[in-house]
Amino acid sequence: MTMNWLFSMRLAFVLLVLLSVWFALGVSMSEQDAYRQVLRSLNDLPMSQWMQSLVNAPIVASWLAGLFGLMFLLGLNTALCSWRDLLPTWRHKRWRSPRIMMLPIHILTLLVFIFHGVDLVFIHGHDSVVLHQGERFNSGRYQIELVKVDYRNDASQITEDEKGFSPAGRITRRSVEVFDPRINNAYFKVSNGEQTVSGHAGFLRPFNWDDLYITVTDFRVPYQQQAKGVQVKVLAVHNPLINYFFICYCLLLLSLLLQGLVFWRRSIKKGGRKC
Amino acid sequence: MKDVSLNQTTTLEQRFIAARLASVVMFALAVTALTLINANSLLFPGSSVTTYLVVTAIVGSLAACILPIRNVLQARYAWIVSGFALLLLIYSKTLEPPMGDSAMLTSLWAQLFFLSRPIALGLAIAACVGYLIHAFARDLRLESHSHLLSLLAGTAFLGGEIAGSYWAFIGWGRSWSWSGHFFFSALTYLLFILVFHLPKAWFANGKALALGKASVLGFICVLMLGYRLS
Repeated sequence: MTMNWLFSMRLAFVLLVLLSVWFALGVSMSEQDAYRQVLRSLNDLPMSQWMQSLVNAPIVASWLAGLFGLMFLLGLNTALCSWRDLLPTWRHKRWRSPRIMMLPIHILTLLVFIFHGVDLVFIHGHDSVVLHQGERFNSGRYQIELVKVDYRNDASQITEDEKGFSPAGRITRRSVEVFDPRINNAYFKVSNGEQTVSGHAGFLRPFNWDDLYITVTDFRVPYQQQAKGVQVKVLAVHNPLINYFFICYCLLLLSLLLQGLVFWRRSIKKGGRKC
Repeated sequence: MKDVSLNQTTTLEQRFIAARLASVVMFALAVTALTLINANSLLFPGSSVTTYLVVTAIVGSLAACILPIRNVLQARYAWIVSGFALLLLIYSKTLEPPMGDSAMLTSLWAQLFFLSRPIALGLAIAACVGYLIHAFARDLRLESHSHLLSLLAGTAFLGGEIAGSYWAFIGWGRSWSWSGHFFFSALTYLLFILVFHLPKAWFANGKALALGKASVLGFICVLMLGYRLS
C-alpha cells in the first residue's frame, strides 16, 4: 500500500484544520473554571507528574491526548514533505528557485515544535520565593542572596492590608505613576560554589548567569512588616534551552521575511509590480 | 472616436487618482489619530483597543497605498480597503481614549507583542479584499499583492508571538503556558499557515483557490477582531 498520503499537502491541510478546531475547543474549555484550574496546574508540573492532575479531569486528558496525536502527525508530515519535496531544491543547488526558502521555513518550524516538546517534558526547574533584604535561598546548584532592594516609588502604595490588598493592586495592574519597573531594582549575589557574581534584576528585567535567570515578579510590603522594608518575590529559572529556542524562532522569522523578498523580486521580474 | 477614447482614458485616470488619494488620505488620517493618542498618553498605549483599531487602519491603508493602480479593479481595491480603514477609525473614536499608564507597557517586548496583532490584522484585511476581487474578476497583480500581504501578515503575527513569548519568559519564567490566550494565539497562527496550505487539486481553478484563501483570511479577521473587541 502506498504511503504517499503521509507526505501530502492534503494531509497537512486536514491536520491544520483539525488542530485549529482542537485549539478552538481548548479556548472554550479554558473558559470554564474547573478545566482552567486543571490546565493551570499543568504549568507548574513536569509532564511525568501530570497524571495527578489529569486523573480527575478526563475531558482535559482527552483533549491533551488528541492535541499531542495531531501535533505528532503534523510534525511527521512536515518532516516527510520537507525531505521529499523541498530538499531537492537545495540538493540540486537551485538557488534562484522561488521555493528556496521553503526548506528552512519547514525545518525551523519543526525545530520550534521539538523545543516546545522538550520544554514541556524536561524543563520545569524554577523556584519561587519571597525575600527581604539580606535573605537567601538555594536553587539547583546556585545560592542566591538578596543583597539590597532599591525601591524608589512610594512604598505606601504597595503596603498590604490584613486581606493582602494594596492601593496599587496587583503588579500587572499597576500604573507606571505608582510603580515604574525601570527604576525599581533588587540587587542579588549568586554563587555556584566556585564563582560568585552579582547584578540587578527587576520586574520584566531578569538577571542572567549561565542557565540561571532571576526575575522579580513582585515588590510588596506585607501587612505589619513595614519595618523589614520592601519584600521581593523572586523566580529563579533554569532553562538551558531558552536561547536555542529563541534563536530558532528568530531564524524562522528571518526565513519568512526572505521568502517574502524572494516572492516580491519575482513578482517585479514578471511585471506584476512595474510602476 | 478618438475624442471618446481620450475622454474615457482621462476619466479612468481620474478614478485611479481618486482611489489613490482616498488611500493616502486614510493613511494620513490614521497616522494623525495614532499620533494624537500617543501624545495624550503616558506611555505608548499599545495594549488598548483604540490603538489596535487605529494601527489596523494604518496598516490596511498602507497596504492599499503601495499597490500601483493600473485598472478599475485595483482602484476598487483601494476604495474598499480605505473604506474598511475608515470604519475602524470611526469605531475607534467611539471608545474611551486610552491612558497608556500601565507599568507593563514599559517593556519593549510587550509593546511589540501588542503591536504585532493589529499589524497582522491590517495586512490580513487588505489581503482578503485583494483575493476576493481576484476571485470574482481575475487580476493577477492583485493576487500577487494579496499573496505577499498574507505572508507578511503571518510573519507579523509570528514576530508578535516571539516577542510575547520572550516577554512572558522575562516576566514569569515561562515562554508559554496552558491557557486560553495561548490556545487562541496558536489557533490564529495555524489559520495563517492554512492560507498557504490549501491543496490546489481540491479547487477547480485559480479563482476558486483565491476564494478559498479569502475565506480563511476573512475568518481570521473576524476572529481577531471579535476576540479583541469582546
